[in-house]
Amino acid sequence: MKVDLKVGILVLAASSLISQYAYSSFLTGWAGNKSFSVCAEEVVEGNIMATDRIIHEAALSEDFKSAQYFQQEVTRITQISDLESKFAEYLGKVGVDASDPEKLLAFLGAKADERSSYIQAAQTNLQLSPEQAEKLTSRIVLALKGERRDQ
Amino acid sequence: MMPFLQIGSLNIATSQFLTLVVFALSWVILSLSFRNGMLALKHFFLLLFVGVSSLFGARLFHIILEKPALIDQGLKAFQRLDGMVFYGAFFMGFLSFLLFAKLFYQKHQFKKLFDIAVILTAMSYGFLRIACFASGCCWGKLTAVPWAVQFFHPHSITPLRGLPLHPVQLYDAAWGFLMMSIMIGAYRRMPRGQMLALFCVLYPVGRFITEFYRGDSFRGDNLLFGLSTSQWLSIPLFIYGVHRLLPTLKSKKLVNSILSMTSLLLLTGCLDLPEPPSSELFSVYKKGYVEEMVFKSQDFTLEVDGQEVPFKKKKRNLLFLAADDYIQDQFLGKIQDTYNSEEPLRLEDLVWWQYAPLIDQIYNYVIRVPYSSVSYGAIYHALNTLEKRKEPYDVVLLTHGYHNHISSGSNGYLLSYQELEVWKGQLKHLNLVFMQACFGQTLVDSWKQTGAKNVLSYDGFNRNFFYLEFFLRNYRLTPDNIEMAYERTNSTLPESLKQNKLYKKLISKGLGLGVEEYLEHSPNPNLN
Repeated sequence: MKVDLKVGILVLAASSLISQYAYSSFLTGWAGNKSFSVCAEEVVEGNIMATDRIIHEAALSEDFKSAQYFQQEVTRITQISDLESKFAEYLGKVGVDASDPEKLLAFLGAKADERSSYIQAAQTNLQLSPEQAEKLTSRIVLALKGERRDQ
Repeated sequence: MMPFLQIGSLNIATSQFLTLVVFALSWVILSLSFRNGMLALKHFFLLLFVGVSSLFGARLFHIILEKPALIDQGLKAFQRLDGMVFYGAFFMGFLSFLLFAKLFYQKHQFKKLFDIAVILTAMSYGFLRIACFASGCCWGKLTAVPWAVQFFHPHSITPLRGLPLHPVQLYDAAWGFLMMSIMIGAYRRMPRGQMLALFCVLYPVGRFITEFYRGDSFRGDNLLFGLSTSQWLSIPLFIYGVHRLLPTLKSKKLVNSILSMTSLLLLTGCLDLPEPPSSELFSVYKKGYVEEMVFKSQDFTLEVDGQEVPFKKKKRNLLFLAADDYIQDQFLGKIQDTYNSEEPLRLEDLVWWQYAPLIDQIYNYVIRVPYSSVSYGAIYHALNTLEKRKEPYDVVLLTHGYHNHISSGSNGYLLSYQELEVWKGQLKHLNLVFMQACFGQTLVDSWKQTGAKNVLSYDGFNRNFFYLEFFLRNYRLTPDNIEMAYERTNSTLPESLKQNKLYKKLISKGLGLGVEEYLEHSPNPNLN
C-alpha cells in the first residue's frame, strides 16, 4: 500500500500538473527556453475572468466615462474569446509581456512606488489621464492577485 | 490504385480531393485552436498562400534535383504537377508561412500558430502520401512481402503496373500520422515554438528508412555512398532538429521536475509516508484557529559525522505555516484511504508530521497554523503570541510567492511588504525567517525592518524543495550560529541528497534528473 501511494502521488502530481500546465501555460510563459515556474501559475490562474470583469466595470464607471479610446479598447478586448489572447492584450496595455512569468510576477507584486512604468504604459496605450491610468493599473493588479486572505 | 474519384457526377483526381480535405481540415483545426472568429479569414489566406508556395517549392525541387532537363522549359515546367519533392514543399512552405505570419499575425499568436502549423504539416504529409498511393506515384521497390501491392489502373503513374511493390506510400502515410500523434501529445508539454524542432527530428528518421524501399530510382537513389537525395537532405535536417530540441529536452526535464516538485512543495519527504507524531512528542494545549503546542524532549544523542554527540535543546519557539491551495484534490482520497482517517487530511498535515520529529529536536513551543486557518489573521495572532513570550523564535513559511508577497495560491495573498511595515521594529525576538516562496528575497528588507535577525529566502523562482529539512538538521546542532548551519547545509547538500535514497530516487527516477543537474537548476536560498 505504501509503495502504491508513493507511485500514485508521484504520477498524480506529474500528470495533474502537466494537464494544469496545458491550461495555464500562457500565464507562466514558455518563452523560448526560459524555464517554467509554478508560482506564476498558482498565483494568477483563475483570475483572468476577474480581470475581465474589473476592467469592464471600470469602463462603465464615471471615472472612465470620458476615455473614449479606452472604452473602445475594452469593448474590443472583452469580445476576444481566446483567453490567451485576451490576457496578453490586457497585460500588454500596461506594458507587461504576459509570456514572461518573471515580468508578470513583478507587475503583480510591484510596490506602489514601483508602478510608474506600468501607469505610463497604460496612459500611452489607452490614452488615459495619469489618474485614470493609476486607477486602472491598481484595479488590474488587485484583480489578478486578489485581496489579502484574512479571517 | 485509384487515381480518380467519382463523387456523384463529379470526376475528381484523388490527389486533388485529398488536397482539399487537407486544406479544409487545416482551416477548421486552426480556427478551433484560436477560437477567434475574426482570425478564421486570416487562417484561410494563410493556408492558401502556404499551400500554393508549397506546391511551387515541391515542383521547383523536383525540377532542380530530379529533372534538370525541365529547366529549359522555364515557367511552363510548373504548369504540370507530375513530379513533386516533399522537401521542396516543406522548405518553401516554411518560408512562406514565416512571411505571411510576420506580416499578418500578432506577435503573441505566432508561436502557437507555428506549432499548430507544424502539426498540420505532419497531418498533410499523411494524407498526401495516401494521395500518392492513389495516384501510383512515389512507388516502392519490387518485393515478395505478403502485403505487396499492385497498380493496375491505366492512369497510375508508376511504370511498374501489375508488379508486386512495397506500398511505401502507405509506410510514409503511417509515419505522417504517427508524427502527428506524437506532436499532439508533445504540444502541451513542450515550449511554444519548438514543434518544428520535433518535426525535424521525427520526419528525417522515417524518411531515411522508407527511402530504402522507394522504387522510383530516377529521383537519385544513389547520390553518394548509396544514399538518396532525400536521405542526404534528411541528415542536416535531423541534426538541426536535435540541436534545437536538446536544450528543450533539458528544460522539459526541468519542467517535469518543477511540475512534480510543485506538488512536492509540501511533500518534502512526505513520500516516506510519515506517521502522525506520537502524543509523547508534544502536548497541544490550544487547538482550533491555530494549534499551540509544547514539545517535550530536552536531551538527545545525535550522530554527527559518524560520532555520537550529546545534545541539549535550547529555549526556542517556532511559527510553522504550510499552505498550497493547489495540491489537494488529487491526493485527498489516497491520503484518506491510506491513513484510514475520518478527519479530512491534507498534504500540509503530512508535511507537519514529517517535520515534527525534527522540530522536536530544536523547538520548545510551536504555533502551527493548520490549512483551514491559513490567513494573515493567523500569522498576526501567532507573531503576537510569540513576541509576548519574550523568547527567541523562528518563522517557517512554506508557501508560494511573488515579488513582495507570499501567497498560498490563487485565493489572495497572505502577507506583503505592506503588512510587514506595520510590524516595523516590533518583532524583537524573531531570530530567523525561512520562506519557501519564489521571490521571497524581495521581502527580506521588510522582514529585517520588523526586527528579524536572519532571513533565508530565494532570489527567483524556487525549485529547491528539499533544502529546509537539511538546513534544520544542521541548525539543530548550532542554533546560535545560523551562518554555520547555512554554510554546512550548502556544502553538504549534494552529498546529502545523494545519500538520501528517497530524494535521490525522486530526483532521478521520478524527475529524470541527476542530483547535480537538479541542483544546477535549484539554487540554494540566500541568507541575509
